[in-house]
Amino acid sequence: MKKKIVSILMAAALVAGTLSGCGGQKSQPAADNSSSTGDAASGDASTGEAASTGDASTGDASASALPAMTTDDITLTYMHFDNEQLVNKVAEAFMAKYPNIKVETQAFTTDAYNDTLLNLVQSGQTPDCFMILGNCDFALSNALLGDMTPYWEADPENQNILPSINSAKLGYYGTDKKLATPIKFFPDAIYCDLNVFETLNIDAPPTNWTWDEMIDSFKAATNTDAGTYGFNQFHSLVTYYPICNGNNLIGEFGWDGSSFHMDQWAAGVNQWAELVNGNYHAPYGDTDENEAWTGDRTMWAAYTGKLGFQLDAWWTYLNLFDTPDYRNRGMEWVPYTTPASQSGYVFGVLDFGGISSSTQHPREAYELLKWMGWGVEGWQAKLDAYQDVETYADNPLYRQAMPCPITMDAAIWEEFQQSFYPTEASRKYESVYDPVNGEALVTADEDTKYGKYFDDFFANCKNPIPFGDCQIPGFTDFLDTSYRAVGDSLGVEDQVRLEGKNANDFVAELQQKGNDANKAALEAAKEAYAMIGIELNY
Amino acid sequence: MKKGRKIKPGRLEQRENMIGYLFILPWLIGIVLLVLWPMIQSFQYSLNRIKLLPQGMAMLYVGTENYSQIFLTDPDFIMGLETYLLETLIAVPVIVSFSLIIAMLLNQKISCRGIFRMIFFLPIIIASGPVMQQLADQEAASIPMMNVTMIEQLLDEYLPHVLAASITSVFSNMITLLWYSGVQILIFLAALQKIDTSLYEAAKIDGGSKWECFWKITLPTVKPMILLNVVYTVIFMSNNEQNSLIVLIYDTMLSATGGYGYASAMAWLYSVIESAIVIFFAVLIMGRKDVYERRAKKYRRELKKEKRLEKKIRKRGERNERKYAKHKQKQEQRQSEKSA
Repeated sequence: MKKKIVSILMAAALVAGTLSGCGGQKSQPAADNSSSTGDAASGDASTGEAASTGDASTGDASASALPAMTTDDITLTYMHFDNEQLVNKVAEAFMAKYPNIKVETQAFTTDAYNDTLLNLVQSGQTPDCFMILGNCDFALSNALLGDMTPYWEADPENQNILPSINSAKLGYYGTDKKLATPIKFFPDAIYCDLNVFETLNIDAPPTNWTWDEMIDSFKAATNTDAGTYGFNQFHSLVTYYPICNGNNLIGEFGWDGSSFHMDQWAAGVNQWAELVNGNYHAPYGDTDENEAWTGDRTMWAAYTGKLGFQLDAWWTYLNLFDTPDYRNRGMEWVPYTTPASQSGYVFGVLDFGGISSSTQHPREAYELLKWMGWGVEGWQAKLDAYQDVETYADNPLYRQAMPCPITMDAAIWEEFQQSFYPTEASRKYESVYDPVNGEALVTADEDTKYGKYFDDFFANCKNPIPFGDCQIPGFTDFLDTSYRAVGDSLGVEDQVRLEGKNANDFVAELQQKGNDANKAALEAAKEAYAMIGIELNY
Repeated sequence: MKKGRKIKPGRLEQRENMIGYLFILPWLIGIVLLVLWPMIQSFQYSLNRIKLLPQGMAMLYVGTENYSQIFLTDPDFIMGLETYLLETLIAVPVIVSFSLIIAMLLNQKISCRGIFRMIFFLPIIIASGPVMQQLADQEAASIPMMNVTMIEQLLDEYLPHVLAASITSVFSNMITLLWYSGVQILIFLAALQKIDTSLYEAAKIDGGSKWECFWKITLPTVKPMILLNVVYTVIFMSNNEQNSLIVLIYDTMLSATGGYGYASAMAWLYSVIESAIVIFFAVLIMGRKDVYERRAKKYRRELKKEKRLEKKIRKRGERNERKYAKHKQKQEQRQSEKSA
C-alpha cells in the first residue's frame, strides 16, 4: 500500500512539475501579449509620439525641435550584442540623467542573435530598442523597426554625425522612412607593414592614396627575391571597388540607393582576379604554395612579416597587430583607410539599431538609442568608462569594445584618440600605459614614426559606407540565391579567377537579379508595415 | 453469464491501470505539447505567409503557394534535397556497417575492453554541433592519407557527376561519419551480448567456420537492430547542425522573401523525403528473408507439393480401383449372361 501511495505521489509530482513548467512559460508571454496588444492599439510610433508631444512641448523650451522626454516613471529595454560591461556603464549614465527611466539591457552573443530577437518578438517581449546583426531583411519584412523619421529629422545633433549617414541616407533602406541608424562604427583598415617597405627600400604610399596608388603599392611590395607579397584580404577588393571608385555609389555591387550598377563591380572582380593570378596576392591558407612560402601550411599571411598590406577589420589592430607577439616579429603595422571615392566615401563596418515599432515610449526609446549609439553625451559616458583603467585593469574596456565615435564632435574624437592611440598631436595625458605589458602605450619613437598614420587614418575614415546586407533590402537573398550560384557551383568570382571568364559577361544577369531581389524585399517590407498602419514608400 | 458480454476488470486492476496512465501522463503531455502541437502549427504555417510583427503574429492564407514556390523558384532547396538524398543513401550503410564491425570487435574478450568501448562512445559526448563544425571548418573531417581529389576524378569518369560528388562527399567526411557511430555501436553491442553462446558452440561442433557463424547466427540475430540503427542514423544525419538543408531552412526563416511560412513548407517537404528514406531502408531490410526462412519456406512448399502429389496419386488410384471394379463387375455380368 505504501509503495502505491509513494508511486501515486511521485506521478502526481511529475505531472504537477510538467504542468507548472508549461504554465510558467505560457503565462509570461500572455502578460506581455496584453501589453503588445496595447501597443498595437495605439498605432505606430508616430502616433505614440503625438501623445507625449502634447504634454512635453510646453515644458521644454530647448532649441531642439524634439518633443520633451516623459516625466513618468517608465522602463525601457535595450537588446544588443555589444560589450556588456560598457553598455551597462553607458546605461547607468543615461539613468543618472533621466532618473525616471529605468533601462534594462539584454546582452546576447552574435550566435543566432537575430533569431533570439525574433523569438522575443514572437513571445511578445520585443525590446524597446535593439541592435540588428547584419542582415536587415528579417527586421524589415516583419516590421520590427519603428519609424523614427520625425525624431531624426528634428534632432539638430544629427547634423553633426558621420556625413555619409545622412548623405547616403543610411537606415532608410531606400524608403521614405528612417527605420534604423548606425550605432557602432568600425572604420575599415588596409594595414601596411612599414617594415616590409623598409626592407625593400621603397617609400610607403601616401595616406590619402588613390585607388591606382593603392594597386601600385600592392605591386611594389611584391618581390620574389625578398619573398614578399603585396596583399592579403579578409575584406575583399571586390567589396571596396564600387564604393571607392564609383561616383555617388553608396554600396557594394555599385548600389546607388535604388538600384545596382554592376559594371563597377565587374571592374573590381576583374582587377582582383588579375592581381591574384599575377601572384600579388599572398598564397591562400592550407595550400602547397603557402607551405612553400612560410614553411607552415596554415600560417596566416599577415603573421609572416613578409606581407605588404592586409585588408582587414578595425579590431584586428588591437586584437593582433598591437600585441607583443606581432611586434616582436618586427612587424610595424599602420592603418590606411580605403581610397576615397569622388564623393569622399570610404568603406567601413557599421552596425545598425532601431526602436521597436510597438514601443509605447518611442521618444524615450529614440533618446536611449541615440545615447547608446551616436549621441555626444552617450559617447562621453563611453570615454569615461574607457579611462577607468582601475576597474578593468586586466582588460581595458577600449580593448574590448573598439568602435569609433559616430558623432563628429571634435572633443569626443580628441578624447577617443587618447584612449586608443594617443599620438603626439593628440596626447592629453602624460602617462598612458598598456596594462597588458606595462609599457607606455605609445613610446616617443613609435609616436614619431607611426603617429602621423594614425592621425591621418582617423581624419580620413569619417565618411563610411557599410556592407550591403545591413543597408540594402534583399541583398542577402541576392547573394545566396544568385551571386554564389550563377553558372555553376564555383560562384562568379572563382569563375573569373580560375576559369578566366570576364566579369562583364555576368553584369546584365546579376544586375537584373539584384534589382529583383531588392524589389521583392521592399514589397515584403511594405506589406508588413501596411499591417501595422505605416505606409512605406520607395 | 451471457455470451459476448465483456468482463469488467476488477477495481484493483482498474486502479493499477490508472497508475500506469498516470506514469505515462508526463510523456503524453510532452508529446502533445512539444511534438504534435508544433507539428500541426508548422503545417498551418506552411499554408500561410507569416509576419512576426511586434504587435502579434499575422498570417495570410496562401494555400499551397509556398510549396509550389519551392519547386518553381528555389533551385537551392531542390538541389540540396537531391544531394541530401544521395549522400544519406550512401552514408547510412557505411555508418551502420562500421558500427557493426566495431561492435563485434569490442565484443571480443580483449584486455581494456571497457576503455575501448568508452573511446568509441566519447565522440557522442564531446562532438556536439559546434565542435563538429570547428572540426569540419579546419578540414579535420577527412582522412589525411586519403586522396579525395583522385577519388573524385576517378569516379567522375565512370559515374554521373551528381553521384560521383555524393560519393566523394562521403569520403571527404569520413571521420565525421565514423564519429556518428557511437550510439549504433552501443545498440549492436547490446544485441551481440544477447546471442546465446551455445549456438556458436553447436555450429563449431558441426564444423562451422567463423565466417559461416557470422552469416548464419550473428547477422540474423542482430537484424532487428540493423533496422533500428538505420532509422536512428537517418534521423541523426537529417537533423544535425552540419546538414546544409537544415541551415538553408533556418536562413530562409530570417530572409525577406522567406519567413516562417515558407520555411515551414520547406521543413514539411524535407520531412516527407526523410520519411521516404526510412521506409526505403525498412522495406529493404525487413523485406529480405534470411537463409533459414528461405529454406523453411522452400521445405514447406515442397512438403505441400508432395502432399498434393500423394493426394493426386491416391485419388487416381481410387478412381482406377473404382473403374477396375466396375469393369470387373461388367465382365462378371457378361460371363454370367453367357453361361446362362
